[in-house]
Amino acid sequence: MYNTPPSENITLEEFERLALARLSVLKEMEAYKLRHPNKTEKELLDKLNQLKLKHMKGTGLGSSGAAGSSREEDIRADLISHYVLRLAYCRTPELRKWFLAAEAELFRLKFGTYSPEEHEQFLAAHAPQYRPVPDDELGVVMGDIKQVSWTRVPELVSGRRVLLRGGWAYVSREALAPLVVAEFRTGVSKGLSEMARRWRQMFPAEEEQRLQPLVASLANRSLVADYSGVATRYGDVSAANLHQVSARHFPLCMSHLMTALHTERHLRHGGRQQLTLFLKGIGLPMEEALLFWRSEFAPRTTGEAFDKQYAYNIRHNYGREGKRTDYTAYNCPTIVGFSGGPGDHHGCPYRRLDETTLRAALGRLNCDERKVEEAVSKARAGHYQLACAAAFEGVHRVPEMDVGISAPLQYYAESRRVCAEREAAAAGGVPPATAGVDAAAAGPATAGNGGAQASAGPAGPTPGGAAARVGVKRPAEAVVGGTPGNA
Amino acid sequence: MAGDAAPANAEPSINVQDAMPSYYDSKHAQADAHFFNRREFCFTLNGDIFVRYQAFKDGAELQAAIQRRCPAKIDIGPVYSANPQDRHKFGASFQPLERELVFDIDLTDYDDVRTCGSGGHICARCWPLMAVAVKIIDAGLRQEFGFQHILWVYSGRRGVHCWVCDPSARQLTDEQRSAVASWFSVYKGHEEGKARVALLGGTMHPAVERAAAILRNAWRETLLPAQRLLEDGPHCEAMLRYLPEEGLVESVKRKWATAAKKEANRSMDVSLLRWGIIEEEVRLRLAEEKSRSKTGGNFKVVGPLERCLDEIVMAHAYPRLDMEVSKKMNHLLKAPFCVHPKTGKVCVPIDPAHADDFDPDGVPTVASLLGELAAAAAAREEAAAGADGAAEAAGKGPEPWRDTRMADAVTTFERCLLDGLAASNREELASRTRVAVAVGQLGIDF
Ligand SMILES: [Zn+2]
Repeated sequence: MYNTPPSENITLEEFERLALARLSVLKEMEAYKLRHPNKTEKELLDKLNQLKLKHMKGTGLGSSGAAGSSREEDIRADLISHYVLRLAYCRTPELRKWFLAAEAELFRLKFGTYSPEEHEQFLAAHAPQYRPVPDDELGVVMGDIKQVSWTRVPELVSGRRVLLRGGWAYVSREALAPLVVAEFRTGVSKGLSEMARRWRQMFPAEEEQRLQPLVASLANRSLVADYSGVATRYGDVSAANLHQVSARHFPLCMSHLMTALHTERHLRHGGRQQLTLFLKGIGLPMEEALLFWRSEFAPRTTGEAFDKQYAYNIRHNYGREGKRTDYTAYNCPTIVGFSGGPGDHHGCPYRRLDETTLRAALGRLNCDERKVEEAVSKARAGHYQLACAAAFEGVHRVPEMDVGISAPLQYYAESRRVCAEREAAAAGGVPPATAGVDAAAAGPATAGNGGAQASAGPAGPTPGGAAARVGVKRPAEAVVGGTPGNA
Repeated sequence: MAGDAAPANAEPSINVQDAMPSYYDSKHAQADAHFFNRREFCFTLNGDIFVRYQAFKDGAELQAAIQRRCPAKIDIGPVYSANPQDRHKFGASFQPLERELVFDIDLTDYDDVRTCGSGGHICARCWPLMAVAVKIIDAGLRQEFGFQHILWVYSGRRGVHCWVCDPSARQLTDEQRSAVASWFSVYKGHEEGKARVALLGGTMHPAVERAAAILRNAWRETLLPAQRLLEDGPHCEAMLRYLPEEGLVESVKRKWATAAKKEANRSMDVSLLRWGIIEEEVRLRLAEEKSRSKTGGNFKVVGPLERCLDEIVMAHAYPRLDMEVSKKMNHLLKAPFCVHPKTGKVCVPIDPAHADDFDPDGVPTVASLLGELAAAAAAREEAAAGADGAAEAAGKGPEPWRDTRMADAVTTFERCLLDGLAASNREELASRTRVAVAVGQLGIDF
């Protein structure tokens, strides 16, 4: 129930690693539930265990009994990661809301796996108001029933979903679970508000400068890798093959711009920005970019006019003009947020196109029909990134991805990887990696968070890795504690 | 009500306060002056002038105010966090803290199913609807919710009020009050000329089943014959609409026609006779359907057939609560023993165990009580005149109301509420004392 924050010394690195691992599990679990609203409890639980293994193996956060981690370690890692994320997600109502929902779901699934004995223990420790029914009180054997004053469960009474006798409500184990989850939510929610209120006191003065930004960044982390490697790895793009590459590997938001550009021989500013930065991201050199745009704008715009009006902007995006900033490609949240008029083609097509146009566009990408429908319905529900992921699966005929698409570059990188593996397999090389998307998607979360993360290595917190650690030992209770009994 | 307020008393000559000495025992848990004076009373003066947020130091002050202003109606509200008359001083911290859990059942809500009258009408023929409502809610409050101190009061015109006075009931939150009201609410309004009752498809909830058992009994015993629900065409048609199959309706009508020709049936109550035929036809149809297959027939056919009789009974007679009254702690409700301004009837308590015997037309009115008082005084005078030289005998006795039928009402009040409350208050006091002795706070020498 997370009633007491942990108090021990941990390294800054472990602090961050545990938090990121938990965050990955929460986020991917959320994505999985959004994509599959009708999964059974068993399937959800399997997924959760799979995600825990994937992200938390060796951290002590894996499912208990797994090699190398004891139950005590599990509990410790669970506590620390929960409280670090609490710190990170207590700052705004939106963050609190997300964290609360994600954690409550985790708790709900976990509570469901408890054995009757564990239920007893849990209730006795955390919810003593739910009493066991004294023998023979109902005149029948009631193994799985608890009694609680009816005033504690007004919703159940209101819906006549309990048995009432003499002021006691008799609640079955199934009916009990949501009540306990509700109490869990209330507890975490109170803890979060309390933390937010006392945010300034949460960090010891001497650690504040190092810890605060780290904690704050946890909440903003999109868990998306830096895709800068893509450009060098698949650096074979040129003005000549761009349309070919687009047809095979571009997400809809980009292939849609490519098509519009090619047919209209023009793109308005928003579209030009979105596409140029993406092309730069996939490794199209600046000279090739100028060549490409000039030829696409012709004949509507003469070469001379192009050089005058548009070339500067492209060079600017490549950091060769003006402030010489090296601009990076937009990610999904940015693109989804774009608005535009009727003549604009930028933004997220899953958000901006009507269903008929969207179906046709996905059809042109040769997307599997079932997946087209899935994408359309996700888009209708406002889950644009999940819609994009569905399209990815439909186009590439792969099993589903763990996370939604969070950047066009991610889509592109995945697409290149899948196709490369297929070709290698066809050539008799590496076995076909049909489940490979899964493993690759893990990449961003575990490897994409900069140097500190990479240095942790797969071995986990072995004392020998001290050299790779960030800084000295930190008094963790000062970080994650500070509000004893706040839950 | 419970221990802190004398029932408001619109009959100046009746001092109910005297009837409950244990209430004003200074040792009583709530006897401190700062409890009673936080209770809101609302007077309705002649001309529909509402005077809200009145509070009184004690019963005597309340009685004096009643006698001075003669309110047409007195409502009782909650106990607030402060004296309601000082509420402006406290701003948002002025909040209701306690209030009896109350229910209001009104016969006007049954207009679609009662045949004897509508609106403000009430008579011996529609009273059984109220009586059965009292029985069902009373049993539910006691057996399911575990409440003990429950007062039922005739509302003076066409309904009943219920006051649940257990300390735990008085402290319920609005959400919990709503939950109790919903627990008892089965009637969900009208649809396609039928009352919709939520029977939850398959098996009935034990609480609904308990109510249904009471209703099935009352249906044949009192409701059906009293309301003559199956005598005239439109009412018959209305009831037949609940039968799930057209064929069933037709066969019932045929049997009714045949039965009407039999001499032996002439003496029977028509409604009961016809109801018996409906039951029989449903039973036959159900047996036929179930024999069709080993699995007991198509559940889509069997289900509605199995439910339809209960649906008819529930739709016609299950208690229809005025939910809004129960949901909020600060809802006002007319005080017991008030005189109804339109009928002149006194809102007398009803013994739930004898709700069937209650006669709404026989309750004392202001006029009847005054008559009885006068008669009693005259009788005393006569007796005094006969008795030699008994000088002061012509005056009133110490409690003249004891000579009127108000005495019966007060007895019911004591038996049904006050005695029980006093007993549990004494018990509570005793146990508090025991605890106090145990911790040595009283320092009593043994
Ligand atoms: Zn009537």
